[in-house]
Amino acid sequence: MPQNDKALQSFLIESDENLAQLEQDIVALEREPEDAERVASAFRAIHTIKGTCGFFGFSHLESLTHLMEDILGAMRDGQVQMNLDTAAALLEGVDEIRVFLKRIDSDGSDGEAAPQNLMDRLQSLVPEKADTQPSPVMAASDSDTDSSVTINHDETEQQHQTELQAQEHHEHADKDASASDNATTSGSAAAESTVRVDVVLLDKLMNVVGELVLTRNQLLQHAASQNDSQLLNLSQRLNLVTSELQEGLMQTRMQPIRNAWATYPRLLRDLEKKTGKKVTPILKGGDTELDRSLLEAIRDPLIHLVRNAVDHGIETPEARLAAGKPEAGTLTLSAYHESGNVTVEISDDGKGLDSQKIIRRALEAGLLHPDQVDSLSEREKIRYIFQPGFSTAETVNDLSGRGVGLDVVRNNVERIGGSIDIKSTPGQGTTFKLKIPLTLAIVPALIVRCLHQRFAIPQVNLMEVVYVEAERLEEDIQTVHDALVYRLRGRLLPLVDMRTLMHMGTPDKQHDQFILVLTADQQEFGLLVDDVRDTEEIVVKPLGRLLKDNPCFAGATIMGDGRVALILDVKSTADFAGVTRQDRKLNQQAAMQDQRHQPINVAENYLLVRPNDQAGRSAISLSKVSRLEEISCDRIEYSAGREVIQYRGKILPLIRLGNNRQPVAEESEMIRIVVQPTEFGEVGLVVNDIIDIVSDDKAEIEKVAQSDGIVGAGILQGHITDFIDSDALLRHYRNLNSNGGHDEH
Amino acid sequence: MNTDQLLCTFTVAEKNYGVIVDNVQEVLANHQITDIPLAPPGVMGLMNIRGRIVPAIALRKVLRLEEVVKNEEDDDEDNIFNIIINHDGEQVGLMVDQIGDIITINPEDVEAPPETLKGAARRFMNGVFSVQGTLHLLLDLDTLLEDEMCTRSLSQSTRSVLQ
Repeated sequence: MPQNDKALQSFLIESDENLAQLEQDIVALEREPEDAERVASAFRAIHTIKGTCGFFGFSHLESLTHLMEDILGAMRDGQVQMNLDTAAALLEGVDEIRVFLKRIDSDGSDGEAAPQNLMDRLQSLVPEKADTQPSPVMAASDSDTDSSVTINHDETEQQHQTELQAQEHHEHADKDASASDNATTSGSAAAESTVRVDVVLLDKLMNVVGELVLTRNQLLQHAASQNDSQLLNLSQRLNLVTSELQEGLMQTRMQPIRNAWATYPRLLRDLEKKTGKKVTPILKGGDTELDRSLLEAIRDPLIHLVRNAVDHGIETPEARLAAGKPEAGTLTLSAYHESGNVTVEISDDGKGLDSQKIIRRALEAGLLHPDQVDSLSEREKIRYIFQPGFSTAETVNDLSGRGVGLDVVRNNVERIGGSIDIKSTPGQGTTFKLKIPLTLAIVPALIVRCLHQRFAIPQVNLMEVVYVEAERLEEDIQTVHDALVYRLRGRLLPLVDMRTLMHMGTPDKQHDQFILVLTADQQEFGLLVDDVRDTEEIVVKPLGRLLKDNPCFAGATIMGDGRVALILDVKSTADFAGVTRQDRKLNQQAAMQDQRHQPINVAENYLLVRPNDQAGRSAISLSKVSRLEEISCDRIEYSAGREVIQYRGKILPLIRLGNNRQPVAEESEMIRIVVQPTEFGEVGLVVNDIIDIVSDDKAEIEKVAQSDGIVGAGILQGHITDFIDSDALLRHYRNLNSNGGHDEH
Repeated sequence: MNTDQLLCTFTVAEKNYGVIVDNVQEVLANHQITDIPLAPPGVMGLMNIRGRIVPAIALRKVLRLEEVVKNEEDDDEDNIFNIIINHDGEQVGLMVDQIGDIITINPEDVEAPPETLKGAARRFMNGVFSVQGTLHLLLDLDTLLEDEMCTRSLSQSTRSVLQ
């Protein structure tokens, strides 16, 4: 019956969906038995399954579903209400249907009947009208039920009543069935615009698009080098079409994370029953979409974390009450987009993690040397729960302590390019935060050069790029405690020289260098490379078995010229370089030096400006400059008689120093603005010229004429320079305002 | 088992070897290779073979043969050939000096490696066979590709040095 195969397959798929719905409804009804819509929805689900079984002649399955339908039907008619026993029996029924479906999928038949004790239990829950023994023959069709009622028909009034009810029930069922038929027909308009597609086909298409992207990149590069305008035009069109195709295909693979959550209500219910704990789930952001392969990859880790939260996080009702918390724990699952990633959070309001206990356990398991303990931060201590061979569960039960630890969760998440983090407050709860990339196959990356080789750095890890001129290298890049550091806006950034790290050569001191500021696992570090090229969409290809334990690279890609470039795995590179530990050492070092009031010998950077025609040079500490902007004069508006501009959706007050006021300036003239953060918000200082950025650690500021936000004067680059303090400047500006002074200085 | 087998023969450092042809996908000459920092010493780099990323294995290193000694007489012979092998669902390239003939042998003609064959090389041999009086060694790819020269990246071992 090959023509039936397709129908059978769609029966299996649909029944699977119906079962998921039914399961959710039962669990929800267990909490709120009054919810009529849920009852109706559950009834529809089981009715559809039962109906289709009849069509295929799966009589064993049908008799089971028939019983369940009877119970739910009676519930819909208000004869019975959902209670714990009924829910348990029905859920067991759901499980049994799944067993049937699996059997049907593999053997094509529904095999043997459902276990008698389950049938008996369900039978006992059907209200009196149906004291029929469910036999495959009798339950084979709806009309059989009718006859069975008639067979048992007694002349008593009582029984007559029952029959009427049963018939009424039946009409209901038919109405409902036709209603659901209507739903399917009215839904078929929608069905015409959606198609079920085999995932294998989508995966294959994705690979082909990957190849297309590569070919496009190669063509673009070739076209750019040719002097052929038509080729250039065509290749640019191809470029656009390819991007659109890629984006479109990507969308076909997106699924809402709700799909992965569908099983949780049941899972939580079972966990509650087993542990005696009470849990209220809160699901937020279920519509957040993820590539289906990623969704598949995080399904198990998420379930593990949910189990873990109930098992280890949330306390028993007694303990919770004793701690002054509500009896039922709250388990919040939320998903949202954040900077090109999807973040999934699982947080409980349980007892939190005990870092002392974790450390004790880590010591016992030999994961840690006693000497190391003191140097660990609280965050690092907690992270030991992700180590292989770690489990704080004192008794091994079938919930979490199954020998599979959180290290597996971490591995699974990291394998797909994600990361996992924990926050925990003792007594208040624990939050696991998973960052998942949107897609795996094609990622934007920055192409950099180190010696003769190109490398791809995923954009998600890249914060910024700092350019260091050759003559500044000695000065700007320093060694603290055997570690390279760079002072980035007042912070010490641990540096890693790519050549040294990768055994490619010795550091280059003759040429300009670039520092890539990278983040991994919430640690920042700088990677010194020789050159920065372009950003490109790259297609990630696996490195293969031989290179799987390479400490720095996660994959490779093929560049426009057909050569291979390696893709840096920023997180493992950070681990490999020991940046995390370096960072701690640095901070300690910095703290020690701060105590001794000996600032590390890193120069302060100043922005040199000329505020107005008459004034000389002024210096603003670079750490107090957010941005430099050049705007056209006609953007200046007025508020309370003061100059303001609209800037990034806010009002930015403008400040002019001295006589820098040219109301007759031509509208199109450009003015330069130094945007500075102050204690009152951002302000823009209007300047005539931006001269340079200088760095000096010896500048002594003498307090000469302290006015207008100028804190003093000193010598920079051989010129007398005023030092501007933006906070003081703003205070000055405010004073002018509050005095109502229109006295323009 | 008595069916004849086809072997692809080649030379590395003037020694003769063979692999079973069934595993061989193609042979490439002077294909572009990208270095991999911190890679196992036996893995020379990565090649792009029609969109697939394939590692190139320096057989000379894995077989612990001497480094290339430039022979003045045949300086036009410094081609590098890559035999692309399908192995366990993945492809790898074996870097060799010269490609020889495809020959047919009877498995019975393959003898155990002689006792005199010592050192690392012996582990990688399935046997010895003779082609027109010249001895060839039959490579065991499974053992070869699992050798630490091919699998162990420079990671843990060098870490302390970097710190």
